[in-house]
Amino acid sequence: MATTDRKNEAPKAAGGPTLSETLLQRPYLLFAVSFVVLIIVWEWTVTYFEVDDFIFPAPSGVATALLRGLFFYDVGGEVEGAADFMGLMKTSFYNHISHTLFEAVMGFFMGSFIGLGLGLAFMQSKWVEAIIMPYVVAFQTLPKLAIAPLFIIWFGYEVKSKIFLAGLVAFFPLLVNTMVGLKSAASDQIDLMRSLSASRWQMFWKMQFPNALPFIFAGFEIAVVFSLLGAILGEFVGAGQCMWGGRGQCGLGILLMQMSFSSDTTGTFAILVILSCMGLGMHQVVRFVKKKVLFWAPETDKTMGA
Amino acid sequence: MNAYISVTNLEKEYVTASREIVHALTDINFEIAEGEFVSVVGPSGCGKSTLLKILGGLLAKTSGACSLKDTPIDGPRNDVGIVFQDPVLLLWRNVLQNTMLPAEILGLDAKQTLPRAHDLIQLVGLDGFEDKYPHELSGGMRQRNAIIRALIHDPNVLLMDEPFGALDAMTREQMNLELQRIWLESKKTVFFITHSIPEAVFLGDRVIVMTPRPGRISEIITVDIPRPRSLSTMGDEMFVELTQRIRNLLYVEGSLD
Repeated sequence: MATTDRKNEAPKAAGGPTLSETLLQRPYLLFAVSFVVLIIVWEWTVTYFEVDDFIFPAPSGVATALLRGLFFYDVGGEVEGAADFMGLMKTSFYNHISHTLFEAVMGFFMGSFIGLGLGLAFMQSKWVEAIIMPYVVAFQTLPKLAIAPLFIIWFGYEVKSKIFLAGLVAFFPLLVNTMVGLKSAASDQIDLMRSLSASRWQMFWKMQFPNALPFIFAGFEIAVVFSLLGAILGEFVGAGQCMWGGRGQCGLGILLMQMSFSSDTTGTFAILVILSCMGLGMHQVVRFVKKKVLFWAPETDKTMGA
Repeated sequence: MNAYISVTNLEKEYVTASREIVHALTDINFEIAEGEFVSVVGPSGCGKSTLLKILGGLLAKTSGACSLKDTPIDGPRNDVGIVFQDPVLLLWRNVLQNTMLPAEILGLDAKQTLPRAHDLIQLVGLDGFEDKYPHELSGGMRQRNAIIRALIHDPNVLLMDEPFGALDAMTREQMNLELQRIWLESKKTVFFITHSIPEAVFLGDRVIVMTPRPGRISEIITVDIPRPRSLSTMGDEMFVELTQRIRNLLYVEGSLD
């Protein structure tokens, strides 16, 4: 009988939802629990086997380094105590974070909008596409790391070269996604517009461009992560002076290099945590805008041209 | 008969990638009177969609002649509205905006077309859904939206390419009744393509039966059943007889696998 069968399948279901059901319904809770477990296991393993901080730091050490960098003077050196605001800005992680963020965001806007513009231009003229596209593809196949030193020569050690590198890596996803998106119009849609004798301009603005928006936003999502990578890459290759005062050179990439030279693995982990938060944050901003703009689009991942 | 749409000796050939010539349409001759509802039924590949696209000015013919209101059809024209198999609604436009699309593109005065859009929305029972987007509508509602979009600029001719093909059987019957009502109210000349023999007979004043390879007209059958027809009409002796006759035509030609 059906009723007994059901009872046999889920005998525990009678007394309300089980623990596993509760957790699966709340993925954030599940993540929080697994995160805490991971940290505890990590901390315990490192302590128990007496792993050197230089090889693999304990989470408590990383957290300490992170808090010290965020709230006190002199990263990596002596802790001098809580700082006044401007002092904090100039000497703590914030100065490095703001530099890298500035480079990545500027690069993102520059690269992705040039990519978007070029994608639109290519679709308007087969000639432009035929002439320029081979160069773009050839350029894209070059490892960006190999181009980075050239950018330092051309644009200097300061933020300009980092912005251009971030822009360069953000450019391609937008170009490709814009082109794919503009070509994605269904033949029915084209027939519909043609049957109304729509002009090329109307065809583009009323149908082709909105159709391409889900692809374009998928491009933005890739580009925003890439731009952070580009900025760090630029900082690795050549460090510049701090833009808004402060001692020495600025940027999280530079801080990473310095920590690597001084074998500060704990500090390196702290920076990686910051970078990962920045990447997630920037990605979330793009996703937020995407959700607002593309409220009409079914949720699909149109990810290409990475 | 006073011909409104007239097609004579129409041929359409395609050249495939392997340079073979495919006869999509051969020796097509028919006339449609003003205000007449003509159904076209036939299996896949009989060229009925090709025929519709030629009538809509979306596809060039190879030879022969077709004219609408005594002017040759050689491109898209404003006095024709097309309903496709998929609703082809623009996803970023709500019901009202999708309905208004042709008016916008043709540059019609919104003062006149906006009230008309609201009338049409009411006509198909979409009132209350004006600001809903396609992803919030059911399949039947989307297709209704597509139909009134084709009517907004008040065309004389409505070309419909299997508009209810993707709907479930019950929604489809509802849409058939609704289309008949819209047609009786608006008195458009309708060219209606379908896969379904009962649908063709239920809606049509005449049914053009087409067979494939090459696509040609097998017979044109007059449906002399009074209107308005109801779903119970489908049980009538005449209805059954006509559908059986069409079925035989299609099977005899060996076109249904």
